Amino acid sequence: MKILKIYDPAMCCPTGVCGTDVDTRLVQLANFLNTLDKSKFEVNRFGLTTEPGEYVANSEVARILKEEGVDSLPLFFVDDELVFSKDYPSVPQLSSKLGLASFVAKF
Amino acid sequence: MKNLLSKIPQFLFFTGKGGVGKTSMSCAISVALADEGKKVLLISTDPASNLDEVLNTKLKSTPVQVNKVNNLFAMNINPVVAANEYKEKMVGPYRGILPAEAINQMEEQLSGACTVEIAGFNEFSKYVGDEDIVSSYDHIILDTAPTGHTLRLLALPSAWNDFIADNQTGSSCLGPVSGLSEYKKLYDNVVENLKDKEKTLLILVSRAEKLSLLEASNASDELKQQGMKNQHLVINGVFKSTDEDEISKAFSLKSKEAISSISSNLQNIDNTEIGFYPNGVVGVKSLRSIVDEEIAGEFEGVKEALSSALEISLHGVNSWENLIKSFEADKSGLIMTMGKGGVGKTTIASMIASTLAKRGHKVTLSTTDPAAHLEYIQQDNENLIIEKIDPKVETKRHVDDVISKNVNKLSADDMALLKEELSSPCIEEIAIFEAFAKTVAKATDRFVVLDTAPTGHTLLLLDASSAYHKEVLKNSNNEIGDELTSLIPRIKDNKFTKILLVSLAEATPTHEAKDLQDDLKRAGITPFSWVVNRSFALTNSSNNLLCQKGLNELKYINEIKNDLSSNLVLSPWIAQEINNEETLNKLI
Repeated sequence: MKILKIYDPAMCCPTGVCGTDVDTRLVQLANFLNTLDKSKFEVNRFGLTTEPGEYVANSEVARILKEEGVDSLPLFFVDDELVFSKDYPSVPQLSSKLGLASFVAKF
Repeated sequence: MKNLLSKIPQFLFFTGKGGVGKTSMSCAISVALADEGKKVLLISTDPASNLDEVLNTKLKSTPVQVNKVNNLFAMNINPVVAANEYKEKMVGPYRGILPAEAINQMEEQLSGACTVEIAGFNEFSKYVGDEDIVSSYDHIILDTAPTGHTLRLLALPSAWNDFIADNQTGSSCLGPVSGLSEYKKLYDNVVENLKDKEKTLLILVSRAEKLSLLEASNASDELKQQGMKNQHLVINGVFKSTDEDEISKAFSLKSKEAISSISSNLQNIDNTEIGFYPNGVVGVKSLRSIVDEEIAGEFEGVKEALSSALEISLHGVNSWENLIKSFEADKSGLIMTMGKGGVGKTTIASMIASTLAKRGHKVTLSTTDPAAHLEYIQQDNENLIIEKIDPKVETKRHVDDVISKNVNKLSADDMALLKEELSSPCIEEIAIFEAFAKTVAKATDRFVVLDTAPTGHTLLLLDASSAYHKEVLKNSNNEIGDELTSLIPRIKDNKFTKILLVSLAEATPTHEAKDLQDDLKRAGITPFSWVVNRSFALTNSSNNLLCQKGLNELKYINEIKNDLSSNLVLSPWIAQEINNEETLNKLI
């Protein structure tokens, strides 16, 4: 069982609804996460506005936020190891970190 | 009025734009029902409620017995306070723990109009959905109704789906208040009550003006589609002239024409006309006089009182000549009018554009009013270019664009939610703003006059999203993004951009304009000037009702001048439709 934790920036809008453009990558990412095999992967995704407590409770996230500010978000952890920060990975990039190389072809 | 009173069910909701008289009407009807021996609870959800003053009773956020009216109880719910309490509940525990920047971002997300609306709905749901409260009153009367957008949003299964709230597929309106999902059952109950013809009557309140009646017509259709089919129209402030005064004859004719051109969907609804009360309606005695259809009394010596008080009020008011000169001093730049619907933003913008062009400056006037007939100001004026932006077209373009990028990527429920979010008022503002960005980007060494300014909330959102896009979409060729990115810092530059807040000299429009000013200040912008439009105090009418109305206006002119802005200009109410240069010039 691999555990993926994602800490999103505060964004009601940058996803596109209130912004100027929809970031297709975020939509693809959400769908990708939804298709992951629940018996092999546990996905925890947090939003700064809705679940700020999670950002404080995780000492590593709190440290990065304090030292590098909100521009360090989003943060992606696989089994507590930081794998992506500052920007969203593409689906192939994320699947390779999850050990799912075969997913690359699909996306 | 008697006819209306005889058919009032358990719940009564009022809807209409700010300043049409919802509070007066809801109070008058509440007093009348209580006088018949019914036990009535009146709830105001207006953030600037003057229910205390109208009922002469100190109210709280729980029911209080109204002075001198047996059986009538009233209370104030402030949706802004409710939204702030919700925001503080979410953000407060993290102050000093999360970085200040993160706290600011959280607060901005929870500061939109949608959050306030849903928080207000949540508050009044406790009264409409709670059996114990409902069963202890014969009538529950609310001086506001939810909008169609809120009702549709609450009806969508995806709105309550955690997947959406957690996964950022794009929940803007309900997302920030997803903490309220525990109330789902209560909301369902409330929405059912609203749709039940036997239980709920919706009262559309309008002024006797074309634009106001058009808004009532739109609200009628929208709420009918959401199942609120039991409707009644109240036309407020119908002025009937009884003398030969030019202004009073013209005002009377304008009311009459507006009512006779009422749209067909409103013709099918029963209506009640209410007369013109220049002092507004304050106190139980005057509320009862509305119900009894008494005509407003005569006022002694008001013309003299007005002319001496006006002289004092005009002291310190800026002239249009000076205001135009201060625009000219900077040679070029962006001038935007801002204010709630119906206060005359387009007219003021056209007048400024036309004046600047006649004085030899190059000007682009951009309007979002599809019905504006502005050809007359373009005649013989080669300095002036007019661009029309149709909000419906721009919004559709924006919405289609967003949907096409998500098609086949979302489930049917999620797509429905996305579509509903895309019908929020914020989206229209953003779509229009994109169109403005193109106009402004084209114009560098000229004046650009826009008849709609973005709100502070929109600017902060666009600011955040353009910074975000710059970061994430570095390599993409996003033209609109570039135009927006360059425009936002220019709007914040008070040398380049001047915002005029347009209001009327009345309670609700003034307080709404103050809210807009506070909202802009949050984004670091101070409006350059205030404009009080359509003032009867400046018309020289000798009709005593209109002079009395003018005297009341001075209170708000003084309030704006003393407390809200150091730069105020005034325009008189004018009788004619503004469709030529001559009438336009009367505004100055």
